[in-house]
Amino acid sequence: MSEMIVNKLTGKTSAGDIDVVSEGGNATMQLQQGLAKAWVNFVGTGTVSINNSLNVASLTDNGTGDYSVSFSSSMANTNWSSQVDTNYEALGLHSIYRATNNSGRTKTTSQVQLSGKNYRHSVSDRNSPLDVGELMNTINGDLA
Amino acid sequence: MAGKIIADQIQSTTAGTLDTKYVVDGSVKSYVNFNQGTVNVIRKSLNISSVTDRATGRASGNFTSSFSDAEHTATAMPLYPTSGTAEYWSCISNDSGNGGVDTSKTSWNQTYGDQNEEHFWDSNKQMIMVVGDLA
Repeated sequence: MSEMIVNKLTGKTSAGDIDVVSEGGNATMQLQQGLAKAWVNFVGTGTVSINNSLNVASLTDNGTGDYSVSFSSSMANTNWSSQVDTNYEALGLHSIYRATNNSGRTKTTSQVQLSGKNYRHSVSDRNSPLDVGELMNTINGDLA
Repeated sequence: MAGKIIADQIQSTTAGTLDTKYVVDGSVKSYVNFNQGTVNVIRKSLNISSVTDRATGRASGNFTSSFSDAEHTATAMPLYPTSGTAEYWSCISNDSGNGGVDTSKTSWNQTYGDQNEEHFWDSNKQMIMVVGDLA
């Protein structure tokens, strides 16, 4: 096995373009495009806190079911892709979370806004904002 | 091609502080596309040793290589039915009371249902992606 120890990878022809050969050997893709540029696992109830993260500077609790995650290094534009999921222990408590421009806070190059609501039919507070014990968010796209 | 590097490993001398952190930390460490029906057929996967059908709408997966902790970031997305008016949700769940164990550094639990109380579904295409720190 060969091993390369480096601190920084830079494309030779174009600094931001390093190609890798596909698994099938018939295509190439940009290494940078396949990498998550930020991800975070955090506690969303009580005093919010970050369990683990990449490229995340801070987490803000904006209110019930409403969080902002700020990036350490900004994205190049606002066309990034976000996936968000939750971890529930109590299956009777359903929710859906999404990246949003909630409460007038617009999607920017430096943060993602996450908001969630109760998703059950049988409760009076259906569609009400809901805090969740553990949230997980991943961002793909172009870094600045 | 002007330059070509062929290597089996890339390692930062100061891991996690410089640009190569995105190669190490930003890479998807596990993913799986599987049929959540009774047989739980895995179509394509990375770092998945098995997927188990625990009950309707409830599956568990095991990593081939463990994570360093349970705080990995996993997202689940099902292929929703193309008809009907139900509102569906899918999530990673500890779900330890339903034949599984807590989502951990070696495994995950996933649940898929709709807005009705305790009403779960099997999707013929469940897609789960995990990033985080491998052990």
